[in-house]
Parts: sequence; structure tokens; C-alpha cells
Amino acid sequence: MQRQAVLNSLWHSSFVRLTGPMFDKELRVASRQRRHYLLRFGYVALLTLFIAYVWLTVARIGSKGPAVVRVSRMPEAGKYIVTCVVWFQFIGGSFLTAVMLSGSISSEVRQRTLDALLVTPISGVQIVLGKLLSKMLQPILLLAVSLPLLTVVRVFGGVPWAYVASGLCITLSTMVFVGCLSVLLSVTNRQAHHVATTVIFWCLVLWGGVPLLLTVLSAAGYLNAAAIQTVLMTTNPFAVLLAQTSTMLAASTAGAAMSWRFHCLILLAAAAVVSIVAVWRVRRATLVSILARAGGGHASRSKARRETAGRRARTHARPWAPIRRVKGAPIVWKELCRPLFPTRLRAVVTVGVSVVAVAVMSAALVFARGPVGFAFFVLAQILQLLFIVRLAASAASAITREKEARTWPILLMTPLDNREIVRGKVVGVFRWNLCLLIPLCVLYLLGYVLSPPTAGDLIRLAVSVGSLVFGLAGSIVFLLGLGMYLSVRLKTTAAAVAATLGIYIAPKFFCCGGLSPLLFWSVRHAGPPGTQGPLGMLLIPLLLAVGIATVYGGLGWLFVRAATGRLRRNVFG
Amino acid sequence: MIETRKLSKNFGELVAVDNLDLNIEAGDIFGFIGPNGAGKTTTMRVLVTLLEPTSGAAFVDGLDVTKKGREVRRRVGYMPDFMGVYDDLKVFEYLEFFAAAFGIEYRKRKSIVDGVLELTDLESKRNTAVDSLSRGMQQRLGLARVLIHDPKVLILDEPASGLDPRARIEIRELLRELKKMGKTIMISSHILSELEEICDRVGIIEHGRLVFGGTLDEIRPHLGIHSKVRVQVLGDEQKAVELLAALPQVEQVEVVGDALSVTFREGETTDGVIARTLVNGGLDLVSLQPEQLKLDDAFLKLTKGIVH
Repeated sequence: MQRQAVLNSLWHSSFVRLTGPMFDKELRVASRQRRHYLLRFGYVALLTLFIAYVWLTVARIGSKGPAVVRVSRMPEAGKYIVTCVVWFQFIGGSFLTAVMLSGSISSEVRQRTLDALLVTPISGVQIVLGKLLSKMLQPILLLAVSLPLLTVVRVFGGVPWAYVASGLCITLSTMVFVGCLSVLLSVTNRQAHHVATTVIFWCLVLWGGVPLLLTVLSAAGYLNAAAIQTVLMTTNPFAVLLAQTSTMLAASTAGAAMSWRFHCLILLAAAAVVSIVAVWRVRRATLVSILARAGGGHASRSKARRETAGRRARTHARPWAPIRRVKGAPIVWKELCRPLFPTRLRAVVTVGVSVVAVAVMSAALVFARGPVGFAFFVLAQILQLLFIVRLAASAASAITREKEARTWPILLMTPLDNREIVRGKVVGVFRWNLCLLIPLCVLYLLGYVLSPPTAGDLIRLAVSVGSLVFGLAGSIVFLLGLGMYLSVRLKTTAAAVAATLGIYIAPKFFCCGGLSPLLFWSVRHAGPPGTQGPLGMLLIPLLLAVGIATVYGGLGWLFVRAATGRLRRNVFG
Repeated sequence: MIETRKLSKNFGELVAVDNLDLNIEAGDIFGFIGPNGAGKTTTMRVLVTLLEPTSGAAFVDGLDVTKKGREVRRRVGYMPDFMGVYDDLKVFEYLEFFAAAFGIEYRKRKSIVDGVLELTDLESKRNTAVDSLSRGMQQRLGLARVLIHDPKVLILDEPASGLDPRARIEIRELLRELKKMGKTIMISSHILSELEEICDRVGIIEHGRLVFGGTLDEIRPHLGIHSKVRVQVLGDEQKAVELLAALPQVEQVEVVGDALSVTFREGETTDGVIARTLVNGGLDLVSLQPEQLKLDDAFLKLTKGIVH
């Protein structure tokens, strides 16, 4: 008993030493924030509704047959529910972690409290770990609250515990990695929404773009397929969870039973490396920030540091850029003034690498006579996800950014009325995101054009393209409206972005990706011509897409109106 | 030019402004003073249409701030206590953005921005990023922004806070310049000596209520403070005390260090009689100095310093 108490005390003291007072402070602050309680309640409510819906659907279908048939359907329902919940937690949790940790250090830099922290005996390790663990506690709690529901579902049968455990571990390790990356980027970037979109961009590149390229190259015979498979199964959480899900659905115990544990270890090790870099950079970044504020002079201790600070200050000043005159609506102009990339170098590298990767992939597929069109379509899917995240983040941060920078009252003091401000913000955000929307459309176009034409294909092509266009348009209007509304209602960018993405993703996910463009691809290529049934059957997805897009678009418009009405309420709240 | 009638603003249970009556004449510089949490900033925010009053009315240039918000904003330049800045803009771009927001035509903007930059002595910072400016420069930029649409009324919340003495003097000179241009200025500050030098009238607020409003000269009778002079004599100090205490105008004579503090009876302010009495009494008068009532003293006497 005494030994246990000593061990507990030792553990507690070592934990406190590791995280310092930062952890306690963050927990205390978080416990006073209503949004965390609302988030947990909303999440549990969503899961409960989803499980109830599936269960009722299964029960209703089965009610026509004998009881034994009804019971036999339950394991299928259990599998469906658990798979959906695990994947939702995996994707939603990763997004949420990226967003919630996006302002962890940058908020301290912006409020100039990091300077004060760094002159205390609190170490960089304590700052980074304190922030990381305390902020991650919220998404981890969301995972935890879903466990009782998953246990209930276990009663249905058909779901092995190993799958639930592996799903949770993969999700948790992915969240830790994403969280560490978010903290690292928030050390050097002052804008929370930039951090969130950059983290998601890198995750999409690492776990979407690179595997696609490697798969294409291996399919073309340039790389060893087994080696690629091994790499993916150790580094890519999507691939690992997909393998686990396939194994579970096939009711097979064979296959990658151990690989997910090894994968989790690899991901945690990578997270540790990223954390170490964040710890190393946190003091340096603060010094740079202080010196940049002081004009690059006063408190510098060495020439190198002065130069770094000066360079940093100049990065913000962009002296190479000429003065831009305000033309057209001032709010739109202001939104478009934001640089697409923090530095020129980063812009050149990102665009250059992307173009080269797409060119290599296309060349490999052309030489191997592979499905170039489909590859472009998958690539467009990855880009669409990034576009959606960026659009949601920029819409949700359009006004919270002003609140955080305390420029909001100044803007409201101009004679611009509410409608002008909101319209300017909406148009500005949309135009700012055209740099992704245009390549996205080009990729879709290439996907359609480069797929092999089949006889009698024109109608299916038209239906597929129409559904895609309507779906995308509905999503854009909805995200712009919802983001703007939440930006007006909420105080911080992280909360607004998380809520916007959550509200957008959750219904889509639980409706089995009802608006997913991959669905439209399957419409386009659903069997050989002549076997697809009457034209009416083909038009159903189009009508469905138009209907859903209309609902989404209408909701978006309503949100914009609500944002306009509430713009001047609680300006300082 | 600025008027409030029974203006109140509550935040839940907290009464930030309580039946406040203010009247500021056109062309005046009005100093708005009060302890932290007294309701100064809230009053200013109501006047500039950023907050809705709970009850009562507020008018700027005869316009009701709750009904004619847009028109009021055209007439008012507001500088908040903490001015946020846009990260990605240069000084010229920042000012031109606000010029555009105030509806100034494109072809006129450049000359207006240049003029405001010259007035606030920021021409050399034209091409500098706003967020890399020092605190003093940012305050100047705030003033430049406030002036961009040539408003009739300026409402400045702690414009000199955090500035070094030189910057404060420069801001004070700028305000004098603006007064000459006919602007009505409402200014809040904790540096009372500065307000004393530039304000025509002051308002002292505590717990959301105006405890005094008027000129500095009106404060003395308001507080029931009697005039005082400080006298230094060479020789028999005790004799001087006796001579002065015998005068009918004098209420009290105290020895304070090496000088005498003479308090007159209410309504008596003449100090010629002091000099005459001492000289006729055979004493050498070294100095005779009327004691000024400082705004700091008035502020301390009028307020209890209890914040909400």
C-alpha cells in the first residue's frame, strides 16, 4: 500500500516536472470554457442518434421476417456502426486535433504572454508538453466518451475487440502526431488557421499524395510493390486502419495483426521527434518575435540573432513588394491582400514539388498504360479535401482573426454596413481560395477527359459532371455561410474552424459520403454501356445531388443572413 | 456636439454606466477621467456605436447614436485603448484601406493619406509594415487613421498610454493642433497632468456616474476647497504667524517646513494683504506663492478608487 503511494507520488511529481504549471493552467482555463462541454454533449448525442438510427433501420427491415433473421442481422449492424464510428473518430479526431492545437503557442506569442513565460524558470519542454497534453485532452476525452457506446454495440456481436482496440490506438497515435506537428507549426506561425491548414496539407501529402505516387510508380513497375506495401503499413495510418477494417469485415484473423502496434510506435516516435524540434524552436521563435517587435535591435545578444530577427521582421514587411493601392470594395481587397504563402520560397517549393509529383505520376501511368483518368480523379479528391479545409478555415477565421488582432472594433467604426462587411468577407474568402478551386476543376476535367471513352457514355458523363458541380457548389456556399456565421458568434479562430469542419463533416460522414465525388465516378463507370438500366435510374444521383446542394446552398445563405444580423452584437464579448 | 441623457449601460448585473449626463460643446477638448473600471471606455464605446445603451440616449452632432449609427460613424473618429493592427499591410495601405472604407474616392485618397501622414509625422514610415512599428508609432498611426475622413469629433481612449515622454508631448501638440482645426475632442487618460494642460473641461466619473463636470476653475468651489498661499519670511517666523492669524480674511496659518501655509476664508482669494501685513510688521518677505489645485488632488478627493 505504502509502496503504491510512493510510486503514485513519484509518478505525479515526475509528470508535474515534465509539464510544469502550464498543464494546470490550461486545464483550469479549459474547464471554464462552455464550448468543451457543448462539444462533448454534441458528440455523444450524434453518436447516440446514429446508433439508434442504424438499429431502428435494421430492426424495421428485419421485422418482416422471423425473429431469428432479425437477430442474424444485428452483427451486420454492429459492424457497420463500429466501422463508421472508428473511421469518423479517426478522421474527425485528426482534424480536430490539428485545429485545436493550431493556436497553442501562437496565441501566447500574439498576446505577448510567451515573453513573460520564458523569463520564468519554466522550460521549453514544459511549455510544449504542457500545451500539447492539456490541449490534446479534449479530443482524447471525445474518444473516451464514445467507448461506452461502442461497448453497447459490442452486444450486437460481429465486432472483435481487437478491431476496436486497434482503431482506438491508431487514432490516438495519429492524433498525437498531428498534435505535435500543429504545436511545432504554431511556434513559428502567428495565424491559427494557417497552422491548421498547413498541418492538414502535410498530412494529406504524407498520407494521401505520397502513397498515391508510390502506388502509381509501383503499378508502372518502377518500384517494388511489396516494399511499398511495407512502407505504407508502417507509416500510413489510413492504410493500416483500412487493412484492419478489411480484415474485420472479412471476418479473418489472418494478416497484419502485429503491424498496427509497430505502426503506432513509429508514429509516436515521429511525434517525439517533432516535439523535440518544437521545444528547440520555442525560445528562438520568441526571441525572434521580441526582436522583430523591437525593430531588430534592442535586446539582441548576437549578430546572428539580430539578423534572424531583422529577416523575420522583413518577412512581415515584404519590402520587395510595392505598395498596393486599394481598388474596388475595401473588404474584398483586404481579404485578398493576405499572402497565399508566408514566404516566396515556400510558395515556389510547394507549387514546384506538386507540379513535379503530378508530372511524374502522369508520365508513369502513360508509359504503363494505367488508368490516368482515375488517378487524376483520386488526386482531385485529395485536393478537394484540402480545398474544403482551407475554405472552411478561411471563412471561419474571417472575423475571428479580426477579433484576435483587435482590429474588429476599428473596422466596425467605419460607415460600412453589416451587409457590405459580410459580403466583402464572403467574396474575399471565395476569391482567396480560387487558387485551389481552379486546379481542382482542372484535375477533375483531366480525370474525365483522360478516362477511356465508351459507347453511349455521354449521358452518364453529363450526370456525373452535373452531380459533381452541384455538390461542390452546394458545399462551397454552405461552408462560406456557416464559417462566416460561426466566425461572428465565436471568439477564437480554433473554435470557429473546428465547429465549421465538424458540422460540415459529421453529417456527410454518417450519410456514407452521400456527396462524395467518388460516388459520381462510380456512376460514370457503373458497368458496361447498356447494362445500367433506364435513364431515370441514372438521373437519381443527379437529382439527389441537386436536392442536397440546394439544401446546403440554402442553409449557407441563411447562415450568411444570420451572420449579417448578428455582426454588431457582442463586439467585445 | 456630444450629449448623453440619463445614459446607462449594464452588463448583466454589473452597471457600467449609470444615468450619465454629459454635454460637450463644439470645439472643446474634454478630458474624461476616472479610476479603472469607472465606465469611461464603455461610455466612449456607446458614443461611437460599438455598444447599445441599456437605457437613456446619446447624441453626436445632434444624431442619436442608436438610430443613426452610420451617420454618427462618418462624423466620429475613434481610437480605442488598445489598437490592433493588420499583419499584412504597410502604413500607406492601412490608411488607404480605411480611406476606402470611409468612402473617399480613389483619386483623392493618395493626397489625403499623404496629408495625414505629414500631419502625424509618419512620412518616413510610409512603406513600413504596420505590425513592425513601435508602440509610439502605432499610436500615431491610430491618430492618423482617426483623421483620415476628417471627422468633426475625435474620441480618444487613452491615446498616450505606454508612450515615452517625448511621444506624449508630441501627441499633446498634435491635439492642440487639431483643436485649432476646430475638432471636438473627447479624451480619456490616466496622466492627469497632461489633461490639465490641454483640456478646456473635464468630467470625473466613478461607478458609472459623473461626479464632476466643468472647468478646472470650477472644481475648487465644487469641492469646498479654500484658496491657499505659501509664504516664506526671513527672521521671526512666530511673529509672522501671529500677524497673519490676526487678519480677518485668514482662516488658518500652519508652519510647513521652512514656510507658512495660509488658508483663506471661503470666498477670500486676495494675497496682497499678506505681503502688506508682513512688510508693515517689519519682516522680510522671501517668497509668496499661491498653491494651485492640481487635477490629481481633485481626482483623489472626488473618487474613492473602488473599482467594479
